[in-house]
Amino acid sequence: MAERSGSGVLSAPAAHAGHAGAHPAPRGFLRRYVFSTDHKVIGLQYLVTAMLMALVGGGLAALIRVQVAWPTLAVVSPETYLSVVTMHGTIMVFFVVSLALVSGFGNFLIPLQIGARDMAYPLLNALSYWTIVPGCLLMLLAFFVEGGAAAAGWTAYPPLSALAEAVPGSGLGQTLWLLAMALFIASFTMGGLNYITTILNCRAKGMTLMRMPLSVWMFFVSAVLGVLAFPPLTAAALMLLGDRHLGTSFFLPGGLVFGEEVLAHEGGTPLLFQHLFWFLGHPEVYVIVLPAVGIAFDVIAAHARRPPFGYRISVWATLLIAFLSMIVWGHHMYVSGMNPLVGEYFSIATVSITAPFSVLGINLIASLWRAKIRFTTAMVFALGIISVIGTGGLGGLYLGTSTSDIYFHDSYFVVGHFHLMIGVVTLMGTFAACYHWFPKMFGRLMDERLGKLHFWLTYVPMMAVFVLMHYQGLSGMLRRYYDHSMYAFQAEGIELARVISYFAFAAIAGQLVFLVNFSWSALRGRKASENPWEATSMEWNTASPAPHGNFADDPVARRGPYEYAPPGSRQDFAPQWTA
Amino acid sequence: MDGLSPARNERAAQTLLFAFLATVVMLFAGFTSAWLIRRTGSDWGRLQLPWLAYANTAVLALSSLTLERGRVAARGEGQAGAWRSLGGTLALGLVFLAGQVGLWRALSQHGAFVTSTPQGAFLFLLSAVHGLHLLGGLVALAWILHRRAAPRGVAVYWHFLGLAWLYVLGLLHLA
Repeated sequence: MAERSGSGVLSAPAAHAGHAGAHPAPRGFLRRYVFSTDHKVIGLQYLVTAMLMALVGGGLAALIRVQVAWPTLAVVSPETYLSVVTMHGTIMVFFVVSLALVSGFGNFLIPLQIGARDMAYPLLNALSYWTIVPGCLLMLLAFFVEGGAAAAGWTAYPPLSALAEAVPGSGLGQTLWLLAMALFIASFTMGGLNYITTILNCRAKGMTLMRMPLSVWMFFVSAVLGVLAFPPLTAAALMLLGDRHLGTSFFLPGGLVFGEEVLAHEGGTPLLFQHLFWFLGHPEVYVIVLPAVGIAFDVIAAHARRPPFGYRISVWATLLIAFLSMIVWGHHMYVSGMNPLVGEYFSIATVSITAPFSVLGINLIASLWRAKIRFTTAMVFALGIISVIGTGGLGGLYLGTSTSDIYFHDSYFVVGHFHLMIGVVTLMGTFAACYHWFPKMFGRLMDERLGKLHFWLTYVPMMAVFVLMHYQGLSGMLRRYYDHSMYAFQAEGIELARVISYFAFAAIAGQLVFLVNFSWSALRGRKASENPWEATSMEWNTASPAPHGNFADDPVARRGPYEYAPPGSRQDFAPQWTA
Repeated sequence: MDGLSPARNERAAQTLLFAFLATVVMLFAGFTSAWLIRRTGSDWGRLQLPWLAYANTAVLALSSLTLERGRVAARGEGQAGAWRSLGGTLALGLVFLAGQVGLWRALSQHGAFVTSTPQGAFLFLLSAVHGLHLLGGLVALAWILHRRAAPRGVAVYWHFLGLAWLYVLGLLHLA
């Protein structure tokens, strides 16, 4: 259709004004830092918002650890404990990890790395951020309403989530949860659409798809997955709202009794919600894990001074993972009474993801072969990612197979596994990105000594917490229980729970080191040059911090993104932009 | 500062539109799977659609025709005719939405609506979601008319919503 532009008055260019970074540098504090349309400012806004939400999510984690390890203290009531667990999960998955890694670094990095001046639709980008702000506020507001915050788990299974009278948090708290999630989904979808459009249309001259850094590839695949997987959850949320407020029976079966009264619902099935939820829920894992893996590839290449092993294979493996991730949701529901043949299918499909995912893991490890490693903080976090993927992925094999999952389901084995994958891998990816790209954000370097301290206070305690949880699960300890000492078969696990809690407190304290380092370095850190890591990808072809409009001239990509140690060259790297 | 060339802007707009349509397809896919599961419930019956449902469908089809006429006219010399046709689409879109509200009223009078039958609940939800998307299309159309801009993207979106409504209607006919 492009060739028709210019024929007839209807194709006036005015129709497209405002697209594609064609906007002058804004003046005034509000336009520059608050209602900005600059992708870098928006990326930072997401990052800071995620940090603030992480304070809440982390605080809730501490509460959970106190309650589980010292149940007699009863720091929270049983009803509140359910709310605490629910809100910890929701806030961490959607409002911390998704915001920091996908929305934050996605925004910050994509245009810089593909040589664009901004996102394809800067205004849509700003709108996406300003949609998530009321989402965060509504989610937090839920703590202060009658009945408290939502208590149906981060998965919001009906009937707990569908009947306002089910538990205290099922009332207004659950409604606010649904509204906040609706805003999150709207914001995330706007962001995803913008990522896809930008990557496909705004790349610099010479920046072919196979010359994009792997982080951009992973952000792209993550955006496609998000855009395709969230709408069915939206459908489920709308039906849930119908069941809650309009009296429909999509998810509510007949014969439900509340108090003495038989409820009027008839014919619905709660399992339907589970299917729709996990159709999103499983791809969501890859929506947040893949960008962390992409960041690991970028960071390892720059600090190991050699190209990542198997670039093309990694791209194809990622695409295969994305496809498979959309057809395996049933492995979250093996104990829901599904037909064993269906379970068999989901087992085979799930375990087959191991193949392409192992390819990524092996490529990461092989990228260290004969490397000249510079052990910077960014690098040690990236190396940590490889280790956590290996450990966490191993547990996934047992949970992906129906025969073993039936035993492990709802135990701490599950909690340990998914925290390693979608908690530790993604957090370490976010940290690696922070330390590596900090110069482009603030023109300064983060403090390396504090950084190393942060790494050891993150990696060791977090691994201890979640690996030990696997053992608790093996011993039969179940998740979401308020007081395990009340059950003889679980009481023994409380000793271990205390050990885990001490490690968890250390991990939380470690994050305070990061917050101090981040704030101090942003203001007082050592000044960074344009390309302090001697890296090769396009974002280093501009000042530190990157100015509005990103590049002084239109950049041209003349080679791949990882030309380290090129043969016949005096310096050990050949940047993408040099002739 | 240089933005993208008009041709690239056009491509970007197309990518955005088709990616957005993919989300709408997935939304309706979600509803469809819910429909397929829910119809195995014990209380599933047959839904007799009132004539208004078909009248509304005809109005929507007509609106697609006028939009197509406007789109073709806008490419050539017949600019005034183009605006008339697009104005017609806008009016027919509003008539369709009003008709949908009428459909809800008719169904609720016949005791086949939100709480009374599962099909009624699906019809309400699907037509509401479809209507909201159409409302977005109307806003875009009004903006196009105001700016005298090319209606290409809106045309794709509008025809897509026409097909989506036919799909919903087909689903409702599946017992």
